[in-house]
Amino acid sequence: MNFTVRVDGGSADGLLPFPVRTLVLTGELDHGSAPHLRKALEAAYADQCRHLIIDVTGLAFCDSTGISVFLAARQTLAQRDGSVALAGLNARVQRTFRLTGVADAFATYSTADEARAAITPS
Amino acid sequence: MDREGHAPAQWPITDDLSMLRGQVNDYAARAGLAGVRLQDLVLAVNEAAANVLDHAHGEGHVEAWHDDGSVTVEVHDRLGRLVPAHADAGNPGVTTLRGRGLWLMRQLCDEVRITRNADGSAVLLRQAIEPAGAGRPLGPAT
Repeated sequence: MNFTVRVDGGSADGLLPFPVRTLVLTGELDHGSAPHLRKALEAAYADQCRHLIIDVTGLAFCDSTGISVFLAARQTLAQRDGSVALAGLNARVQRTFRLTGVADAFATYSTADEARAAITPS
Repeated sequence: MDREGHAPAQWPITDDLSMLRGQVNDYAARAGLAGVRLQDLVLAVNEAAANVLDHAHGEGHVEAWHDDGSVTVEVHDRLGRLVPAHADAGNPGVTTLRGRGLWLMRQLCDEVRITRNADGSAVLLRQAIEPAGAGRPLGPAT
């Protein structure tokens, strides 16, 4: 299975008075596909993204390389007083997060809409 | 259960870990692993092979075999930098970005062992097909 990243709404998407970006991931995130996600994150940072929502509803697999990319995003956005939220984790990916010991490092939501609603100006 | 799966298997390590996961998944499933325990073994092999790509110039291969009690997968590299003590790696915590592969393997598999000889290093990953005390595993529908 391949891996895709779709940018769903940029900083101009909206209704929120600060830069939020949603990345929609599908397929398998691993050693081979992680560079695609890193590239999409670099673009988001360059676009002044502060709050990042990663929609993983369509993510079938994630390994520790993928988790290290999520952790790096969390560190980068924390320096901007921002955040990374994950939406729609399936049971398999959730287990990987839990066993890796990083499950509590991210706010998680059922859907990207819920994650968006939870972001409040600070 | 058919006995064909008793034949050992061997695959090269390439950049395409997705293919390797598929190969290990099919082999271990035929050997009798299912569900989360099957997924866990596949992820552990993925982690060991990713380490070979990152730390051993990508030169290595994977061997698998099984008996009625367990499936064993050995991930070999030719560099030999991995030593047995690495199997005791602790949880690096959320502020460390990398280096959680071996820790994760230990959470995923019943047995993780590192061996080293003149040909390189190997990570042995073993998953019991019917873990003691776990009750009857939920097999696939017949």
